[in-house]
Amino acid sequence: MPEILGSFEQAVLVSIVNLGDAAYGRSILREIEARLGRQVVAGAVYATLDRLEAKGLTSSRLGAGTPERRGRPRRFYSLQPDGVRALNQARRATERIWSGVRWPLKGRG
Amino acid sequence: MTESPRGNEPPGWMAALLTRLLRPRDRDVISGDLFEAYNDAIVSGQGRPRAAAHYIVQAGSVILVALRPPTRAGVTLVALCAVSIAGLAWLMLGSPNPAVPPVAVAFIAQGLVTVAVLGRAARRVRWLLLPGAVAVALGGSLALSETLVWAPFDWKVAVTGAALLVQGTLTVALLAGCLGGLGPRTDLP
Repeated sequence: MPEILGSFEQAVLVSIVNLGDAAYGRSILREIEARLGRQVVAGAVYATLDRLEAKGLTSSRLGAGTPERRGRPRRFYSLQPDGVRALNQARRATERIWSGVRWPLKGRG
Repeated sequence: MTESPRGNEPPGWMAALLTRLLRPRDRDVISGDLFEAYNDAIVSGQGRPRAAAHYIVQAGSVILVALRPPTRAGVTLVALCAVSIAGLAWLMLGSPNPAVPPVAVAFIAQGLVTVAVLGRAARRVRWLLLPGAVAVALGGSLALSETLVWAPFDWKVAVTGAALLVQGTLTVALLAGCLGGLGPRTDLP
């Protein structure tokens, strides 16, 4: 059964794709904030990263510690084939939903 | 990225809470990310109070997720375990039947392990709960039917039996992934 992604999960996965080899917790958070145009709490990002990895959509590896982090390591994330499939499917679903509708919508509201 | 200036440390109490409450897997990684963000905020000229406030909000959100309470069904299961443990202990103390205590002790142990699993202290052994949960449900239904149908009615046996029956059934349902499953919610955000 293909994974159904929520909008925040999509934002996290797209950020990982866009950041490439530089996708770790803090850079992902900043990328999501830039994409969503609002501040995001770190707890939501780490919980989503955890959940996506548990579902097998992403994988992670520990990097080396750096001086600006007082030697603490970064955890780098990358997409797995299931994650790519889920993201493609989410994009197709969104396009299907909007197909035939003129955007931006006009009218009251 | 700039070298962190000497003496620029995020609020120590919050950093200590993070270290204490996060899983070992996340501890250094998340502390490092938040430390980096704190220092970047200071270097970019936001000032210490603002950087510290931001650090507290972000670290607090991580801690809240780590301490997320169990589902409503999980809370109900903890309450049922408490009722059945208290009921069994009461029945054990007043029972002249030597066959009762070993069963009661086993059911009390099942209740305690269930609570430990729900509290994430023993998540790895959660599947070991399954046979015990079935036994608890059967034991509860036997006790309930006996006091309702055959023996003189005893409200202590009826309450404990009903609690055991529902506890066992709910444990099986949660292990099967129904009602949000065992353990804390992971449906963020």
